[in-house]
Amino acid sequence: MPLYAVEDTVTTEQERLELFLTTRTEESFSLLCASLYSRLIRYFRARSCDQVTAEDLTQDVLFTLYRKAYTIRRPQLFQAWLYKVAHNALLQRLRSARRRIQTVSQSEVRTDAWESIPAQPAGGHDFEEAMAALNVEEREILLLRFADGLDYQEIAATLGIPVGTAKWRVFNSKLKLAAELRRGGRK
Amino acid sequence: MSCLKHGHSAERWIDFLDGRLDPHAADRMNKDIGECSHCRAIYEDLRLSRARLEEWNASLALDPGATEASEARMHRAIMARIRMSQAAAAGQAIAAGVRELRAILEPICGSATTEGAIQSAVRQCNAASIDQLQGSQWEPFVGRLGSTIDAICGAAVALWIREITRGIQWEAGT
Repeated sequence: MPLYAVEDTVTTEQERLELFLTTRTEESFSLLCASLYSRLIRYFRARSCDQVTAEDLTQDVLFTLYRKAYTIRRPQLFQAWLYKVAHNALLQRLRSARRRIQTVSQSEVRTDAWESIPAQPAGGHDFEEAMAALNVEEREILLLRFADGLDYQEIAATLGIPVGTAKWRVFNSKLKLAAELRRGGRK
Repeated sequence: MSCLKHGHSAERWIDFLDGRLDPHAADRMNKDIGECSHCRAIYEDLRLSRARLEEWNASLALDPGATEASEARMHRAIMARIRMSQAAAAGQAIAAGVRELRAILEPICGSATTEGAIQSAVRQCNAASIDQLQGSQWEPFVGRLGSTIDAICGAAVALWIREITRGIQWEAGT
């Protein structure tokens, strides 16, 4: 099916996904990709990746989407599926970066710095410090909720946890962030 | 962390802030926040975090994400990876198919005749060698090979060859 034939009628991401899952053509895949590029780039940029790394990882995610689309059993939870793949791609990149650094010099590098996904310094210095004080899980769940805009069901599916646990983690992470922000403000 | 006196759960707090509590439960929360200093402290902390996270998210939205040029670049790279993986998969299917054909034909026609028939079919498909055979050439290749085998070993063997390659045809063609 030529791209121009569907471009005007298939407008939402969900429609594009369903078209791709049904037809599996290059055209329907291209159409779906067009609505995902910016979102994935922002996902990786929000987790402190530079533009080149963000583009590389976006390619990895979309390549996985093409190859593993048959594993999307619930299209309504596509966002969760996509973010899970993106999360795994980022972790794999961080692990391989850590391995590379370890082979260069074990003594000069603080490898624990690579265990965590660093926070984006966009909300001001105190905010950056407060986010950095959270652990990986706390920071990631706040990113999924507030940077990626996922609802709790999607967060739960992305992280493989119950919805109640997702809410509990967001609640605790927000309280911890507030405590860190107040501590920063008192300095 | 929770107010010990009122004991609102994390889920209730989250639903309250997202405006998803029913009016009666929301009124109760509002009352507790107004009257209980501990509940008020929790509420203020949650509001503070939310405000700063939303402010931060607004600054993230200024990131252009992908430009037209970067989208085109990524798209070219992804499609190239997809085509390479498809070619590799088709190549593996073809190699397996040829191995299977040889195993069947050699005991019936002999090694030299089998090899001759295969090479002849490859040439008739305009492929430089058996390794260069593309997924789209598999079906014509099997057709040519079948005709050659028909002439050498008879229609029964040729039919058998076509039957057993049917599954391989589908795999290599995709």
